[in-house]
Amino acid sequence: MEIFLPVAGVSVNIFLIIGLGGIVGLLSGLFGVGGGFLLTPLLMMFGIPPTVAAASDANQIVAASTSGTYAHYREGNVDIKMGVYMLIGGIIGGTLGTQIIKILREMGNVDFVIKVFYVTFLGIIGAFMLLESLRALKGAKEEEIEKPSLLKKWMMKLPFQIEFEKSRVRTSLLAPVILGVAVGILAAIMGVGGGFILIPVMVYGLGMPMNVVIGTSLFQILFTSANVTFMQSIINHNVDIFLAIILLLGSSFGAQIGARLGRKLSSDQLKIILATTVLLVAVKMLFDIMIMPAHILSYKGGH
Amino acid sequence: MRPLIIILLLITCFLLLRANSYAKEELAARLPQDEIDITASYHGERLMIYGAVPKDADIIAVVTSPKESLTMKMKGKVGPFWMDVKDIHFKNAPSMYKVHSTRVINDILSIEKQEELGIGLHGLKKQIADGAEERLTDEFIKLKNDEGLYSIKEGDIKIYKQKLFETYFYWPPKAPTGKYNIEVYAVRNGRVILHDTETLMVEKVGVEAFVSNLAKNNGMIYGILSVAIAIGSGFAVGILFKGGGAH
Repeated sequence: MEIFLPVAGVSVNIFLIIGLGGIVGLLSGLFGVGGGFLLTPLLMMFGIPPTVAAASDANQIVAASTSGTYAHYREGNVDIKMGVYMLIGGIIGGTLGTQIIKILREMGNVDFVIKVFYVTFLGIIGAFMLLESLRALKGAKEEEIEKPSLLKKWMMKLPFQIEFEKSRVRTSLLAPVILGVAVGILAAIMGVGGGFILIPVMVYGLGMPMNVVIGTSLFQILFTSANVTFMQSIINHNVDIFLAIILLLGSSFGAQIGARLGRKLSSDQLKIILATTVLLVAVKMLFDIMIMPAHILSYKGGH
Repeated sequence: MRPLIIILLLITCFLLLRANSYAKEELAARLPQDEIDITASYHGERLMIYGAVPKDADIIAVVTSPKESLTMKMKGKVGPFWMDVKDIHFKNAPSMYKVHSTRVINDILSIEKQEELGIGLHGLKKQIADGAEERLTDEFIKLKNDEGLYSIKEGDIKIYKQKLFETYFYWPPKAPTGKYNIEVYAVRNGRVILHDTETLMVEKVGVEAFVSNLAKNNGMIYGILSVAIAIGSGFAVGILFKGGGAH
């Protein structure tokens, strides 16, 4: 069954889009990522203009992350206190990042630099997570607690030390704010929701347990994607509500299934799957910039 | 007496012939409708264009959308990577451009004439180029062609009993809204002998028009609505699963 999307200006098959939404929602509930990295290029493959794909995807993520946050919250896996501090940092970082990207764009071609940066970043994070969790699976457990990272040591020295009960960590309230700023800047520059950046930061930077990380990440993504949807509607008028509704029909169910599936997996198993996904995305992006494009011209706008 | 009758007869014959040939020299291109309505179930539209054919003439039909000014990104190879290297401007490119003809356009009209009238590949290139490199104009046409927005189909116009021509044009769902011009030319011996223009409006109606107007003119309300629907349905599904889930 085909439906014409009023803002995108193309017609799509409803069931196909629901299916796509379902897959991305599953990833979202499982790992706490928004899934924009996957969905936006897929939507573009079906002829949806890049800017509309990215904006409507953000709208859809609002639904998936609401559904996912709710599922994880019931499990007691959302650290709202931590989330709010990171969100404050994220908003500051996002604003800074938007300004930085504006300046960079005026200086010339940055899209390519961003892609290379992204690929490198994802590659390093993915490889690190994979190695670390494989080692942990082999039995070298609990070693890290005795050997806190430099980042953790530094954060322990910051003032305003408080207890985050849900995350079972004690750290300065400045730590999540500062990390939030860093993630916000990166997310704005790279044009992604930031789940991929946020999760490793919470796991390795703050030392939070994996299940709480996923729930808290979804909580964050809910606010950032709602903000993006709203801003895109006002400034660029490129949110397609039809597309978003069809996607969210799939993704909000997918998120529930993902959250349930996640309960059955151990922290290290989750990390391994996530790390593999991250690496695959990095490899795919690397291929994208190395393979000769079918068209050397493309419409301007969007990522 | 006799010469007079012959002269009269000749004049009558001449007038009759002239009247007769006038009757034949008609093009009268017709569209079955002058509007395409975009509804929720719209997935493109195929429209027939038909009309009378003057004797021994070829027909060329050209469908063009309003022209737009476009900025495109051009990719180039830098080291092992493909990256956007510069912006290319096309000031005068139609969003959609389709040409159908009775046979190979180059055999019907001279290239100069094609360029002058904006017909066929030569005419299209002439319009778009406007200073841009030829290689890039070709790339642009290739992209539009792959999107189904540009096409040239030579030999796609059928003529029945040397009197009636008929061809189908397809408006893909991607074709933008607006006013389309359909120019039909009758060509004989390399000269355009008749020319007819029809117009067609493509517009969104009903809920499609409502949503796209709201998005365009009322971004704030649209944004709040979009976020509210998403949060609402996310919660609804969450509660649904809580109720129905096995705990």
